[in-house]
Amino acid sequence: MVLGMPPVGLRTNREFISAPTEQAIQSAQVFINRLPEGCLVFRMALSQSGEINFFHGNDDDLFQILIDAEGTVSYYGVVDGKEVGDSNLPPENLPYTKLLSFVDRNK
Amino acid sequence: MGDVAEGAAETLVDPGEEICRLCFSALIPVFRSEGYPNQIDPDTGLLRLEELAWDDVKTRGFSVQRRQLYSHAEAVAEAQSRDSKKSQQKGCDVRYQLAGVLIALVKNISAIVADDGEPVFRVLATPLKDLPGHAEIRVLGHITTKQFLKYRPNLRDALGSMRVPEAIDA
Repeated sequence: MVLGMPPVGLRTNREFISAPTEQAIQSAQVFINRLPEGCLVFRMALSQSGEINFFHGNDDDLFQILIDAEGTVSYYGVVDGKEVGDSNLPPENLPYTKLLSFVDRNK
Repeated sequence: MGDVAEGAAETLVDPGEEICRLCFSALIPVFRSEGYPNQIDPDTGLLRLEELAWDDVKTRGFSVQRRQLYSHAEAVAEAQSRDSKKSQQKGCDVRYQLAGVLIALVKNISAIVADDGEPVFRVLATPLKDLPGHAEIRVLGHITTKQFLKYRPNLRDALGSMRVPEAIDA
């Protein structure tokens, strides 16, 4: 598990690799702790730049959550036929009920 | 490899050109999460979405090579260079190697448009001193993170399935 790793940044040639920042890790912890019980099945993946990604659903119907280096959260998905999404929110302000609706619909 | 060539202006790559993105594999995890650097989803053969990072397309530039100015030999040399560095960093043989290449037509990337009809991504020529074909995929300035997430799967699809590295020269 990468959460909790100390931030590391290095640049090799044109390859940039960074671990998540402390702010990103804290936001991810807030996000996970606030997830409704029905939303605990997800895929988490780190980007090369240290962004933390959460994916709910499958490739054809995906709810994406991205936590950037500043610890702000952006999300996008389609719930009940309507696009939902926003950029650069504190993790406390994520619409967890919409995520739950997305997950429930896909059960 | 390294610095941007002096006096080089950023210009759009011609829509008719193809760009390629190298994909690597390693015997053991090198950095980051468990699978890295295995960047391809084995179920789809496509790039994993997390490989398309917001910070890359917004700030740093998602590095690609213009196919007509690049070669399989250069790609192999790049992989060997990375293998040497990463094996040294890890203190063991990580077998970091070239797994394949994604090749895409620039116009297919430019064809991804937002609801306002404007392109989401552009491909800029960003030559380096020893890599004249270096280019970067970036989002246009007005694109938000939410919009990036919406269109990220489209960019992944435009980059297509991984091909054998020799396809660079084909």
